[in-house]
Amino acid sequence: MALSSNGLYISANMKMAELLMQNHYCVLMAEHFGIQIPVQERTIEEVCSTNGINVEVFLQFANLLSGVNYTPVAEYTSDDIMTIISYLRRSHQYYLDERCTHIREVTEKLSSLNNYAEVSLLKKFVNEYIAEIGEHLAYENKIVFPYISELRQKMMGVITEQSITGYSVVEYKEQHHDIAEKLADMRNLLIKYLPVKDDGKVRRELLFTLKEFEAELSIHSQMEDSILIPLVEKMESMVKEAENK
Amino acid sequence: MNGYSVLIADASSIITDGLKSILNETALFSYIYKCNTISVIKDLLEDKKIDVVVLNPAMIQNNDDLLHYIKERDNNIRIIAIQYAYFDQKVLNKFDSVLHIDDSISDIKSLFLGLLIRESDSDSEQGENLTDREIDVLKLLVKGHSNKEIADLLYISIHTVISHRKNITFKTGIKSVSGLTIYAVLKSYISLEGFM
Repeated sequence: MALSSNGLYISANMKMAELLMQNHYCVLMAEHFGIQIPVQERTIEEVCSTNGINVEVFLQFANLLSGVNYTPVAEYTSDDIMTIISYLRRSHQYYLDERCTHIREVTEKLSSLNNYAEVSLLKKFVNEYIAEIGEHLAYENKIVFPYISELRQKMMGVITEQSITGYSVVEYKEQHHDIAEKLADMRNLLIKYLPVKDDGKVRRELLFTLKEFEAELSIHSQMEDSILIPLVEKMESMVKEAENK
Repeated sequence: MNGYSVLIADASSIITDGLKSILNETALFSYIYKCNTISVIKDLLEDKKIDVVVLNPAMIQNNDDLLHYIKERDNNIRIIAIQYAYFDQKVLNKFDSVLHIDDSISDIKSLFLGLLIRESDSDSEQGENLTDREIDVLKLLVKGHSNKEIADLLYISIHTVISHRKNITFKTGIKSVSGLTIYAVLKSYISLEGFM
């Protein structure tokens, strides 16, 4: 599920501005890649080159968002892996610092305008959920990404011992459950059942921000499933192969 | 998932089978259960969602136990008498409607149609109403019980619990236990103490 699955195939000589105008979510995606706006008339290839990003990696992400089947990068370099990890770290930062903060603030506003029990329950649900997200992202930041860095260093021959022993991508896959489900439940409650006394603007603000988060997480999960996990599996098998020699 | 279920209970299989055959033709019911004894009535009511019960008045002639039992399971169940012997009007008055052995097939169909249409009107007033059984499962679920525990507490199978949970999610649109908890509070199925 792409945010804007227009099915448009993104290529390297397309203008970056055209991509960002066509598919709004790519504005956020570009930010997570560390790309600066304004981009003038430059092509995707040129912009990536300026920013030290492998254009193939960028295109893989952009096409995933566009809903297009893009051939995965054949051979990720160690720099590519760094690019992907940086991308994911930046998106985590965005979720926690900006998105979750906004959700918490709007919920607080709703709660202060509607001082009754069920809205307090919703607030509790929201805060618990944000804490859960925080844990999930911390798990990725503290365990998964360092593990990947370690694999990368082993591939480069920099280190030979594994400090994060016994960990593998299999464990990560098991952790990967549907974290966006509760957001849909919250929206359902707000739309169908939860009465609010205010004129509805705050509730609408909350609905919008919850929906955006749901879409962002959904794409984030998709990226992890179709790009990150296959990448790690490949790295693991390469490292294993090298070790068995 | 709007099909209704009916239970036909009479000591005579000629009656139960005959009536089942007629009701099949109406296409009003997704499930038609039949039985010949009171104990099987109770078993079926435990496990299945039943909307209409057709009873021989003899089963409640001397005491109201069975009537109470049915109403306790679900107050919305419609109870119809199938009459082919003399019964005091007082007994017949306890039923929502009376079917006579010599009623024509079209009369019988009209009677059930009339019952069910009225019921679905009140459904749309109330919204997505969960059945009593679904509410029982919901209450235990938001208290933190597992499917197995719920099954044991309600004397139903795990399969039935899962089925009820699917219905609850289907009707409300809510998947998580946290979400369902808020729903349960909003509908006054549970009180707030212990959750805040």
